[in-house]
Amino acid sequence: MKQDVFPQTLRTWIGARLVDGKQGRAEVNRHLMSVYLRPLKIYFLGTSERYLGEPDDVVSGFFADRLARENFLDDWIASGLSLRRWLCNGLCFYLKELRRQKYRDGRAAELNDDPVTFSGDPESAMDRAFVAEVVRVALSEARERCLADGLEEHWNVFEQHHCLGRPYADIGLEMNMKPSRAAVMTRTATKRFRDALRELIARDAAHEDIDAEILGLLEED
Amino acid sequence: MEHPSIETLDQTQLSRLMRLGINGPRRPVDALIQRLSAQGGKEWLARILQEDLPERERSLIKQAVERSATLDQLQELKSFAKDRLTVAKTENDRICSLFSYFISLAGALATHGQVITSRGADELELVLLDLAEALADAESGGYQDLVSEGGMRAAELTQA
Repeated sequence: MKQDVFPQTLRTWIGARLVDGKQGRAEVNRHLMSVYLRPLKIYFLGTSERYLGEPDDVVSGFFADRLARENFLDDWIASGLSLRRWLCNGLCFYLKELRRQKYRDGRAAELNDDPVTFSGDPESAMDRAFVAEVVRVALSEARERCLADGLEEHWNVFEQHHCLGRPYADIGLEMNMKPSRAAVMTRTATKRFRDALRELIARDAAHEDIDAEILGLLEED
Repeated sequence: MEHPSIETLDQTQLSRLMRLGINGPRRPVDALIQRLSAQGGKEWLARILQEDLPERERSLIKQAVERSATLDQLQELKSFAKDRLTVAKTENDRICSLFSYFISLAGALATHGQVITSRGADELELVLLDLAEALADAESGGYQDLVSEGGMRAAELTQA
């Protein structure tokens, strides 16, 4: 029997959208552009091919090329890699293609088939950028969920405490509530944030242990 | 009020926010939170406070909420709860015991600033604030205030 290598989490969001036709793919593409554009630009800047163009142009070109390929994301699911690693690998191949194309156009020197090389540790740099992007998107989504649930004040308290690092006592004073009330309201908003963040990590992860994924990303600090 | 810009969050802030995503293993308090948050949580709490819990425990819980319980009495409440937990035959018995147990911990912190368990104050902070959040919808009898204040005192001890 063929081994089932697709973690359930991958099926639940990206996998489900891939079988959902054009609209589903468009949604996946929007997600990829939202979360991975900046990390991939940082990754690109760490490669020996950074002379090939402006990061914006190169990474946008990469997305346009690869996401137009029907099997690009299906192949990712079959790969067992995290999505960010899959995209990094894909970008490296794309850079080699770009290099050959520039050579053919007479705009670059001939190069042998050397693999892309790196200065520094672009994977770690990309992981840090990925953390920044998933936190940014999760904050935005959690805020929307709080507003939709009538929890705007809870969200404000969350931001004051977790983003600005203000103590509950100060927040309570300013917002005319007991510090303990501010703390409880923060926990309410934190649940929305946690859910949003874990959903985003699950879309990227190669396995279902989201806590381990988060801890792994924090180790990159 | 100043609002943070997501774009300017530094690495430390990002890591702290990222850490909020960790669920960790399921804690004993989660069963209680789940019961309180489920449909009928409010009625369940009212019933255990009137019927299911032994009279002595109910009396100690009342004193804890009124902030009149001594530390010894809160220890007694905790011991009752732990004893009942070990012999609990049903899930309801187990969750009832957990309610008493966490009220005793919250009371000791909120009223006396004392930790009466081997759990660390940092762990208690999150446990009690999560429980307080679940109590927000389930009651209006001062339990949420006690538990959230217990969580706040735990936070102060963590920072001290």
